[in-house]
Amino acid sequence: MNKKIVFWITAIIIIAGSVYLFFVKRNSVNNNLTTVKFGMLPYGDHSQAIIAAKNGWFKEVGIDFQYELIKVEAVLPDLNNNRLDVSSCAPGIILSSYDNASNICMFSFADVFQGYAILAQPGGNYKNYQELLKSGLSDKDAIKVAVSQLKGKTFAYPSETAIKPFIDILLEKAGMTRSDFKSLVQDDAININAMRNHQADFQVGGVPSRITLQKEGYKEIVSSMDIVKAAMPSPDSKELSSVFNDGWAITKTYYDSHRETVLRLASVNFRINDFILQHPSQALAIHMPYLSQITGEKYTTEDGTVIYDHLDPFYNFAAQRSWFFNDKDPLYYKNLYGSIINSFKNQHIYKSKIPAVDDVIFADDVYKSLDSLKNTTEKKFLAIDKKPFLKESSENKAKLAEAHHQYSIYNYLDADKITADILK
Amino acid sequence: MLNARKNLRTLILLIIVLCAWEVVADLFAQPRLFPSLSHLLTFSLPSIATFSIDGKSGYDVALFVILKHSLLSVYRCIFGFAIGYVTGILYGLSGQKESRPERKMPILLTFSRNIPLLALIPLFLYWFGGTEIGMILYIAFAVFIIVATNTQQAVFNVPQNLIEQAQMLGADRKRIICDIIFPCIQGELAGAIKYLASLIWAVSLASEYLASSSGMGFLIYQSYSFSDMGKLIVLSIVYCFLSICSYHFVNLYFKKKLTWI
Repeated sequence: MNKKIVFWITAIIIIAGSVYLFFVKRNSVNNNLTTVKFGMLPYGDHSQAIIAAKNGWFKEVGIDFQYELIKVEAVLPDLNNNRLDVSSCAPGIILSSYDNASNICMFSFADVFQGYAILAQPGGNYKNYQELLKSGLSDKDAIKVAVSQLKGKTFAYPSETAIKPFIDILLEKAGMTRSDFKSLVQDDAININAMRNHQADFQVGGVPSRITLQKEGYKEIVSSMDIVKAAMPSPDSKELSSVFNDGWAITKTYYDSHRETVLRLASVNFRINDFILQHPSQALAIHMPYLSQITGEKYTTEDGTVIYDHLDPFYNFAAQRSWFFNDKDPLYYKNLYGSIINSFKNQHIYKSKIPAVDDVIFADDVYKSLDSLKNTTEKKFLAIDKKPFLKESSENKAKLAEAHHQYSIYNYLDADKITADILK
Repeated sequence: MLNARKNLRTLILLIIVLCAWEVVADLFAQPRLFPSLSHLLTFSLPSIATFSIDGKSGYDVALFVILKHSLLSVYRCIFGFAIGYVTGILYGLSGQKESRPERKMPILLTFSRNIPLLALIPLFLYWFGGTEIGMILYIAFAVFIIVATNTQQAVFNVPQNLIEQAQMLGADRKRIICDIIFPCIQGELAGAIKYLASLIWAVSLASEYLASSSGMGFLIYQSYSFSDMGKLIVLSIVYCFLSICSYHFVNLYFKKKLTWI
């Protein structure tokens, strides 16, 4: 081969490689921190970890947080292949793929996804659930009348497993079947265009399609939260299968081998949720620009407020208590995931073993561990208060201040360790 | 004179197509669904800047984003091509026998050639996750299939008498491959490489579409998720540009290299 050509090809490869290294590879600095490789998904309820990353909250609990954007299709393979340690995830993804992903579990929850909603063409004089309630109809009748508007119309929805229970329960409540309307079963993105060019009168889909269409003025008719309000707190409740938590997932192997890191990660998760609730404008100022960057879609503060308040409300440590201790709460984890598993079972998703809730949801264990550590730390704080001599040395003063700080940021594990050290 | 006329005709045709596009877009009046050219230039193109890390906007940022992601795709294509080309040539030549009465494509190659490349995406995704190596190997596999098949076919077409004459003059297997077969197959291979220069972008799109969080395929995936037709059209034009550039680069190379054909 001509020497000149060889030279040019080598030069191109070197330049391309350098550009790749410059743009893609991040320099990782590890100052005795535990490195955690995290997969961020391009959705509003799966990218809030950026708030902690930008504020340095992971470093405060001894974690070198290396995040990267991944697609939802890559969550299970990347966790299974150990390319990632932790990933943002919805339990539905793990539950529906349980046959091939039985080693993956959810260890901490962030929010409740209640984003499924039937949207209608604007200007179609359609009434939504809230308007019907205000007009004096009962809860049951309001849903029935709202859904009955689909009769004879074209309804666009994706073939997603997770969305099916929402549609099924609405049809059941309205006494309708799929033959009462014309179904347009297509990809979410295609359904958006079907609404735009009036091929469809109604649509339901994931959050990107809902935000896109709502921004363009399409009207919400009935949402998953409307039907969950009246849900029975039981795994047998069909209504509950249309909502779920979003949170962080790991492999069970990682859970067993990095128990302390898992607890610290969960503490950062609770800190993020609390920050979103207490300081939404500051959270949005960090979160929305990042979300815009990873999705390529401009998210304003107003869009973010819709996400935080309506589509995916976040729950802090105190607010999540009921999910793990109160079985009368419809959102109690065994009610919610029992209902979702039942729904998947009825759809014949499982070819081998049907998972139990505790096979996939480990968030209860993490929450209860942190809660227990919180209680023991509080007792140790009291014990230290009763022994003032313990606070005399400057070393102990600094330790106590650190313990209080870790306690305030939900890192009850280290708060407990430090207080134990002072008492020793 | 003839060339000038031809160019003028092409230019007029292009202007007609663009005008027709603008008129249809105006009649349709739904820029999110069928964007006009002015919408593409003034809204869709700068909106690609949303993908930038610092959240800045404007044409310069948008062009920088396109350049950055294009370079990443170029990098994957170059490495994928290099691996696929070398292995394809080696595999294609390895089937060569000096005197073979019945020449048939090896079963393995025939089998691999008939696997739809798109069907392999979920497999590669599961095996390699969203890693660079997965995307590069996917491209390499596609290149390998085409290069190996064409090499094998080209080797079959080398006149048998050339090989026999070389054998009579005492050439060993290595010299026959280097001095007879390899030069003889260059012409046929050039066709395959030119075809690959355009096809490789489709393969890179497929490899990046599901797995990657960077590159042109990623931009296309995100724009598709939000049904942003404007961005999709702009990015398709970028793909078209990249494809034309790579084709011309390869064409230029073979023009210089294969002057003797």
